[in-house]
Amino acid sequence: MYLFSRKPLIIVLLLAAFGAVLWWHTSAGQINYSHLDVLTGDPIKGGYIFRASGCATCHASPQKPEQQVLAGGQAFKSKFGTFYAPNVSMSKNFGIGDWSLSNFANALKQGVNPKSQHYYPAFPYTSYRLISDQDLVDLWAFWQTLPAVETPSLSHDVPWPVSMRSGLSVWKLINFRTDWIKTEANERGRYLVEVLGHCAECHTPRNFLGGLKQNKWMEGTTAADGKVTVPGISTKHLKWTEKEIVDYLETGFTPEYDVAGGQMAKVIENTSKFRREDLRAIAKYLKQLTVTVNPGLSKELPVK
Amino acid sequence: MVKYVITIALTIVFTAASAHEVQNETVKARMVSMKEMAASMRALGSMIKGAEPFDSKKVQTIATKIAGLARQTPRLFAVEAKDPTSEAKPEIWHNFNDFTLKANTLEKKALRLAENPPMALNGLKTGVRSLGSACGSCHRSYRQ
Repeated sequence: MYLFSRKPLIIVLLLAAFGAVLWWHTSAGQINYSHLDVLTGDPIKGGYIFRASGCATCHASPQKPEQQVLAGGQAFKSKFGTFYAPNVSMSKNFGIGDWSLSNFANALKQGVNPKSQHYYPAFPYTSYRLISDQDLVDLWAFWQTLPAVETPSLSHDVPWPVSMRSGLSVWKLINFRTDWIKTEANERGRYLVEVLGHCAECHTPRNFLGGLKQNKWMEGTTAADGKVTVPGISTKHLKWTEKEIVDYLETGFTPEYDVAGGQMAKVIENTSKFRREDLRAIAKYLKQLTVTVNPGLSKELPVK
Repeated sequence: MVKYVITIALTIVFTAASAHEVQNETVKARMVSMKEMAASMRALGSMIKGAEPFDSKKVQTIATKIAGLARQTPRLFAVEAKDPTSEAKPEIWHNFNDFTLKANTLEKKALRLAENPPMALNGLKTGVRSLGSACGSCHRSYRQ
């Protein structure tokens, strides 16, 4: 009886505590990346990182698919609503022209904008967050050489509660990863595939929250728009040799001399210009994708 | 005898099944043409891979065939038609001029290869790559 009478109080206290934690978590907050300021960015190397990361594949304007014109506007349909890639050109009014290096780092590594709001994970910061410091600085150096495009971004077309960005803090808590998926894979290939290339964003199935199912890494799925089938590329699914993978990424030809279409054709526009040793590293990584993955990664807290 | 009957029965079932895969006649014709295109590219590819000996005359024949297939592509796609097995994107019919232009590019490239067949493997590699980029630039926008 004694215990029973206290139960409501405990519940209220627990709820209050939960609310407080949630509130603390939902205020995104910028991380100070000023330690990056000592590094010197190389725009030429940054251009390669730009290509390896496929930035223009999503951010180029649908009317002007040139790699340099980052006006945004491409639509990405998903079961959570339609996301529009924003203008990320150097425009001070409509793009990211007034950003600091630290703002740029927060976007890529934390998925947080300069106003301390969360980005939707349609922007694959879940992959980019492991980008090396030097690559990030080089990429920013390259970015600043790109033209400003004076086109406003379109707002996302997402229903409530998805429209509440604060909820994304909880999403990040569950879906952020802080370590490699294939710890034992070759380092360069792992970096290109898991981080810059963000291959898993299309090739790995997602849970009901839209997070990647890490235990089904690269097993293939249906694309976010629910129409196109994305093939599995782990060794269970992809039987090509390393050489055949390299050739495919370089020329677009499958071993049967079929030619990729859709989104993958755009990816190949980038990979066709990769260094050969990088293509080899990617192929090697894919051949190292046997069933076991590093378990329990998603349980770790995001860097706060 | 039993074996014979079973074989025939299975053949009928499988033929019926594969005919059922693509129901729309327009789509079927498109797919047949694209499959022939793929087979032609594969034939060129197997020379590059060394699975088949390099044969300039054969390259010429195949390139001519690809040009012909490219020429009929806009006609085959002129009518918008859907089928569950189809990988054609609806954008084809929103930008039919561009689609036609891209098919024409492939035709031109294939004709160039046919009129000027490579004398050595390296030339074939360049030619096939050029054809491949024509395939790719169209697939990029119009194939799922």
